Amino acid sequence: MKQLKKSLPHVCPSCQSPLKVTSLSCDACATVVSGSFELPLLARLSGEELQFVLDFVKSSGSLKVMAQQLGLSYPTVRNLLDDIIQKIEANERILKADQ
Amino acid sequence: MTTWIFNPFTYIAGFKSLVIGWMIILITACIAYYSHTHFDGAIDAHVFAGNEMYPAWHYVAEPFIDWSSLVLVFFITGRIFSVSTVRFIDIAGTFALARGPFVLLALVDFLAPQTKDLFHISPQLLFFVFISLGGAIWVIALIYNAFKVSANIKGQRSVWLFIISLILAEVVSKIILHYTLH
Repeated sequence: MKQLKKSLPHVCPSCQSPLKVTSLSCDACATVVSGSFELPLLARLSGEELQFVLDFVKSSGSLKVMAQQLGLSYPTVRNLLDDIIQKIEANERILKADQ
Repeated sequence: MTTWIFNPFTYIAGFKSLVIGWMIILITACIAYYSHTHFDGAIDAHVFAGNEMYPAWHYVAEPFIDWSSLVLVFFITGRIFSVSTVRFIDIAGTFALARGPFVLLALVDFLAPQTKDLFHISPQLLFFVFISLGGAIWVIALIYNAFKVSANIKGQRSVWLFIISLILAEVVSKIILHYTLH
């Protein structure tokens, strides 16, 4: 049976506002922590974008190494990074506006 | 496959594409010498039917002046309007590679029929027109994608900046060609 791949939702499907974490649970002892926690900025990225950030960190921040690993040109990889930076900055602005 | 044809810059850019692009420009110049094709503008390609022979270096200088004009104008546009860091080597490399279809146009010019008026349209002329038109569209698509990838400018803004920069590059190339070669 094909396993369903779930992604973490970070915007409300109804009104598109940013979602918050309201409960966390421990699988071992079933303890549940409730409250209102902000999603970390990186958790607001899509799966592909988050993978890009992880690969970027693993390659010591070298775009040249990233380009070789992904089989893409240097400016293409730089553009992907710039797009993620812009998205993070936009999320930061939204979070500041909410506070 | 479509990406390789219309946007190879996703995979190749910088110094590598500059070397490949320059080799293509030199091959194009050699073919153009024999097919009497002149690249007398940033994106121009004309075949001259007359018997007047220009020196070989004209055929080499023309595409390099065209390429330099495009690189100069689009690099300045990129540096002014892009939020990313635009590298000169990326603009130079991708724009050199974008001139690839001109090889095809220089080759097709061997088939250019002598036509004095539009009342004598032959199948050979139609074939020549369609191939030339296709080549021109291909070159423009490649230059647009080279600009988009190298400067990271997207959306409607990229289209307007591309059109204005292309016209400016055409004017710059015409001026340089006028004062140097013609």
